[in-house]
Amino acid sequence: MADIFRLDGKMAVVIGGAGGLGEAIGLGLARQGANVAIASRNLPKLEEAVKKIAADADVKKSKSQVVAFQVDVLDEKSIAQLAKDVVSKFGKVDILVNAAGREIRGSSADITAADWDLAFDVNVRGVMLASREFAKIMIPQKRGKIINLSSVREVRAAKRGGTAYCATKAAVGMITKGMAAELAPYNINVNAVGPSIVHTAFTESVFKRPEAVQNFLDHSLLGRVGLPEDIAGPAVFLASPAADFITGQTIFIDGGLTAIA
Amino acid sequence: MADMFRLDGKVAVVIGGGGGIGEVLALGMARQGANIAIASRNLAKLEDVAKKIAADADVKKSKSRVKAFQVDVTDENSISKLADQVVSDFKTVDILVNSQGQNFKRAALEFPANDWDFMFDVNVKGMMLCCKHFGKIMVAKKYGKIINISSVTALRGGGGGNMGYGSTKGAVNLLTMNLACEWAQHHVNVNAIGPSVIMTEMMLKQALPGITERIISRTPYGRLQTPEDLIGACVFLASPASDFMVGQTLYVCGGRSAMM
Repeated sequence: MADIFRLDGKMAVVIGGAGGLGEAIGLGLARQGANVAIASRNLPKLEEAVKKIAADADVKKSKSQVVAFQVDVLDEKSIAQLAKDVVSKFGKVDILVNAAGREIRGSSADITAADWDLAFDVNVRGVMLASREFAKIMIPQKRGKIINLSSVREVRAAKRGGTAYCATKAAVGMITKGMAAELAPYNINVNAVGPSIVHTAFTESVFKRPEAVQNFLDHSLLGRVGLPEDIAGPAVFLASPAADFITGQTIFIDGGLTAIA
Repeated sequence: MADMFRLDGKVAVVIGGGGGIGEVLALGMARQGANIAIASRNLAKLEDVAKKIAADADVKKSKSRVKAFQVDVTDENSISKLADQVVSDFKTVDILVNSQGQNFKRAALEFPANDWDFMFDVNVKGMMLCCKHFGKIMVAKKYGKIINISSVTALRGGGGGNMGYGSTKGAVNLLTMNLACEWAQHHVNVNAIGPSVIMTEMMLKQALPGITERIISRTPYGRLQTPEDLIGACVFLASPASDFMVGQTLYVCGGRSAMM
């Protein structure tokens, strides 16, 4: 029997995250044999990420191709162009990972309408538009996996503000369920991963504050914070045939944060 | 890097391994390289299952060992003895899958107390006791993965005589969360899998007219579920790929829970 966790011959698109979770998930997918198109705004930074992924021993062994594309998830045309470019180069798309995200901090009493809009434009509208464009490719294929990057903030409020961010992730949770229900007849699975804080280049500044780190540890039953590879494993699982009957779910990968009252 | 979904060298105990979900999950983990102790009441049936699993081509290739043990999950002494036997035979335990389960469909007004007690004895108390006795081994070695079989019936009421069964599965989810909270510090991950309805041949024969169609119409994937659908989730939760995941119930239900 073929290994149900391998992705050989699959074509994956990862939107967002040179240096963040998108990069870690891209690496995980490539290690399992998928060809990976990784896309974000900052092309030079992305080219670095591509080089790093392509140099990985397991990626080489799997003969996976990794290519960078530029995309601006705030721009509907840019997303449509990305879908077109990927299909014209690779002929199909089997896996879409929506990992672009914006964290807006601060209290609800002070939030500006512009910050609120930006959070929803990137985290919600961007996810919807990318899923729509790539679902158009997946529906006639009658096959596809969409994986959204949610957060424990989908279901748990944050004590120190960040209501806008939490609200965007709750929306991602329902987009995930809604699209799962709509797309299941086409064998397209839509799921999400919901991490607690993960130590990446994007969160480096937070990790320089000892009181913040202590707060994270206080909410982690496992006594450590999440690392990019903790999130890559579940994302790869959801992309694989091993998860073929799983759809409409958010897998929380949080060291126990959502299990404690 | 080692394949993060492989289970080579791990020892997995599957409770309720004689037919149904347990047998299939045991096969799935053995294919990934785990040595398997399967345990249930009916040893004769279980010996056949062990032979069948051991004869699988991928299991042979993985050099996984499979052995059958007898256990009565309503008897704590029997569970404690099983833990001793497995350790003396396999040296250790890394993974526990609790797939024992009883499902009596009874209308609430006529629910016999005996049926209620037996269901809770097997599905909840039996699961707790298996976690307790194998958890001891895992906590001491500071490593372990426990996977409890829950159900989408833990989430919502559904009629069809499911009051008792659904209540046991609600308890399974809270058992899972609380054990996760106690044992995460010892690097024992406790999670659950929540399937939708898996109709055995017996259930299909006995099903009231229209029930099968109703289940399918409420499942976005548009088909009945099979035990094989759960293999991936079980291996994932048993593997290093899920090391940062604790206290969760992963619903493998063709999207049914998304619409509940």
